[in-house]
Amino acid sequence: MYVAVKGGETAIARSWDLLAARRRGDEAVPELSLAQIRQQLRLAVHRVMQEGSLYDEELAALALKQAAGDAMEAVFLLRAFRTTLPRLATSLPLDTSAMRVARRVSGTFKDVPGGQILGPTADYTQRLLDFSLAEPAATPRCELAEAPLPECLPSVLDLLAAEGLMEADLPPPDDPAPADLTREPLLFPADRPARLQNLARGDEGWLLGLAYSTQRGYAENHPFAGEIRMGEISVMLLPDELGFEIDIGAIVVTECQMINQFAGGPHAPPQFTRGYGLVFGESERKAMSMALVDRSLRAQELGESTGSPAQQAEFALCHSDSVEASGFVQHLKLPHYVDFQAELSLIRTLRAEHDRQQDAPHD
Amino acid sequence: MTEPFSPPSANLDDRWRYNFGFLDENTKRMLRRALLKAVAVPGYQVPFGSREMPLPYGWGTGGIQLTAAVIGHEDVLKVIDQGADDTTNAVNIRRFFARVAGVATTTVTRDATLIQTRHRIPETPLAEGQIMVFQVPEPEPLRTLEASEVETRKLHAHQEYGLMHVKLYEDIARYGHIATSYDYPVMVNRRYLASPSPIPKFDNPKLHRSPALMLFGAGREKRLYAIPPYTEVESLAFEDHPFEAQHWSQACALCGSSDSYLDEIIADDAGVRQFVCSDTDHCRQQREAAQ
Amino acid sequence: MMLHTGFKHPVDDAQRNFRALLEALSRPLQPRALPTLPPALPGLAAGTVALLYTLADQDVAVWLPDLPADTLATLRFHTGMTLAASPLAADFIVIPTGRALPALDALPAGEAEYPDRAATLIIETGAFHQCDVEASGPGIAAPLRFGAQGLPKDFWRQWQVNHARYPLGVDALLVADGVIAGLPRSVSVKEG
Repeated sequence: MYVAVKGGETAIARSWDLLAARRRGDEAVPELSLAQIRQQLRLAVHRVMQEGSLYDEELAALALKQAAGDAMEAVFLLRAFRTTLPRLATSLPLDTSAMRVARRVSGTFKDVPGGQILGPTADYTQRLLDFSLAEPAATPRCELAEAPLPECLPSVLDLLAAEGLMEADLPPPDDPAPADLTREPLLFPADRPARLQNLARGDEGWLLGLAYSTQRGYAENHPFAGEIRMGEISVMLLPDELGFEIDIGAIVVTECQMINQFAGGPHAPPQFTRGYGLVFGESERKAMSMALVDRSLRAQELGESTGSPAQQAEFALCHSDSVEASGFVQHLKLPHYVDFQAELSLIRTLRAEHDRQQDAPHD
Repeated sequence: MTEPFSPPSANLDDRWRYNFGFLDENTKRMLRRALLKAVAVPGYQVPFGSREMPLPYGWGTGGIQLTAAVIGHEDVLKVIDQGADDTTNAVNIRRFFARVAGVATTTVTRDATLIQTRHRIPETPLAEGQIMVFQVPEPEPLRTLEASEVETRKLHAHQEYGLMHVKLYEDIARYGHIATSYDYPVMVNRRYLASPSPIPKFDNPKLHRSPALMLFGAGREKRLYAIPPYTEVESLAFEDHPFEAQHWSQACALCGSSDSYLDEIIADDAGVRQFVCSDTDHCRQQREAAQ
Repeated sequence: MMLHTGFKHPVDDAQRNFRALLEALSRPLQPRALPTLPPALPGLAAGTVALLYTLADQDVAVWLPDLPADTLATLRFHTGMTLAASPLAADFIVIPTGRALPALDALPAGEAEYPDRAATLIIETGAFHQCDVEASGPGIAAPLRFGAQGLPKDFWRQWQVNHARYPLGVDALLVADGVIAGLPRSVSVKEG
């Protein structure tokens, strides 16, 4: 007798149990704590916060633990939780010049006011596996600088802007409230705030690949890393009922301001153009990629050709979201018996007709 | 429906942590307003602020959001995938609503007030007052012919559907048939070209002047649309190549039904095929009636 | 200033009223009662208030004529809606009993690529009857007769003009106390 190959509730229940057991692994090994994940897998936590667009290290660590380290799955878990949260208030725009920087470098000037600050970077480590990390060991002592860093570091690009060589970075006329892509669909043409918002939530691998393509001839960016800074920044609210600003806490962000060449035109003198990236946590790879893609998506506005993938907003933005992409690619796992049956019966019909024509005697 | 296991304790009691139907009231209102516009302009794709759901995009997030926006305590919910109530995704979605809305669920088509479906329309004729919610992966019927949303919007605005006619005609020139067997495009209310979702074209005629309200949700693509009851829904065709639904020379191996949509099963290692109803409720009813 | 009470069970009442509303628009000009009514507000019928509590929030602009301050304050309190300065800037346009109806062809009717960006009118009328027009369209199984007391004389002629620009056009909800009838732009009417 035919038995339907259709999963029931019991099968689903068993798969949950198996997943939980696999997540935990060998119980002889101590279980990971959220504090360990937050402290020792900090960059994974940051990536989950960025693409999950929710700044909460504890929840991001929980998501990573639940997802057994699968970053995209963790992003998805965080997003699905985020969407249920009430919106209590809107913060004031971040002022990144007031960032308490932990790192700040410019690729365009040998020295800049406030100095180049290398900070905690893996850039100049020799990528040799450090076998001493294989066993617990004492933390190396960290010597502090003699003088504290300045409270406020002006942006390198502002110095060029003062000379008139950098395009102005002004809000659009009337300074309309930016779209909120967590509550409204992305529509085209998408303005720059909507594009930046999409990129900030976008998958790091997607952005990296697009950004890389612009450097290999698929767009014309001519970028220079004007300034990259990372550090802590206060989030401020201005509640109507108080009438003054309050500091509700600090977050770590990475900002990248790219300087790109632009020949000028009949209406504008030659000046550099901007590409901008800003992400939660520490991730220069993501912030730099975002800045490159932001600039290439401005191609139409700046009168450049728009033939490359990274210049086409619909292509770049509609495919950037890992939660959307991962879901749709993997939905092919779901049963498609009905559609496949439809195709099967169609191809059999076509095939029968084809064979009949082949067999028919030719004139 | 019995609960063979209880959810892991980490989930606590979801009813205390989530609103009725999972979505917050603001999101429901946004969806409800969009649904009313969708009903007012049948077949037109209304953009909406789709939310992340606790189910992957592509697995029914659009359908779930629509169901969450309309469902109430008085509803009786049926969820099918491939026509069956017991496929894993259908089970999962039905459990989700039983959990976050506490509503009654059923597998019997005529007992349901609300039916969420992926890829099928039940064989039992639908009745007035019933609402069908379709899960839609790609709401834009022209997408494979024109990738840009800006361009397809213009084509709909001008009711310019030549691209689709050309495509179907090229099929005929090449194969002698229209080579689309599911997600077969329809004209709704003689105005908008629409995707019926990936139902087999066998089900297309059930959309025409149905007494039930049909709602379509595409979560990942953030679009929803509707076909009100008694609305003209015409499957595209040509005078010399009229629309034709699938039919089988076999009958269902379980119930003997000869007019339902059949799944093909490979029954043994020798590749012996069996055909059985895709609609499990219909199949059960036929067998019960025969006894 | 006095605030009036809203829905007794906000989540369930909004859901039940929405379902009635969805049915009303899906089956145009086939009246049905709203299942739960909040207290009426000075100047507005209970049915109108129920529709606003069901549909309005901070994301929509509602145009209302001059109404008592208590009414406006209560609506704002329960919905968070913003008040539109003119019907031309409104998502919902409320026409209480006896108030003038703006010319339909001047109201937001959507755009060719986004016909959903059109206004919805909530019009209070007297009792529904079957004397004014014969209607047909999606949601109507066979042409049906409909009428409503208190509509302006030229309303149905204006509606023909509204329907003629389909898929653009406004949509209307007719409210006779606690009974509603949906009138989406897809409905075509013949007078007499």
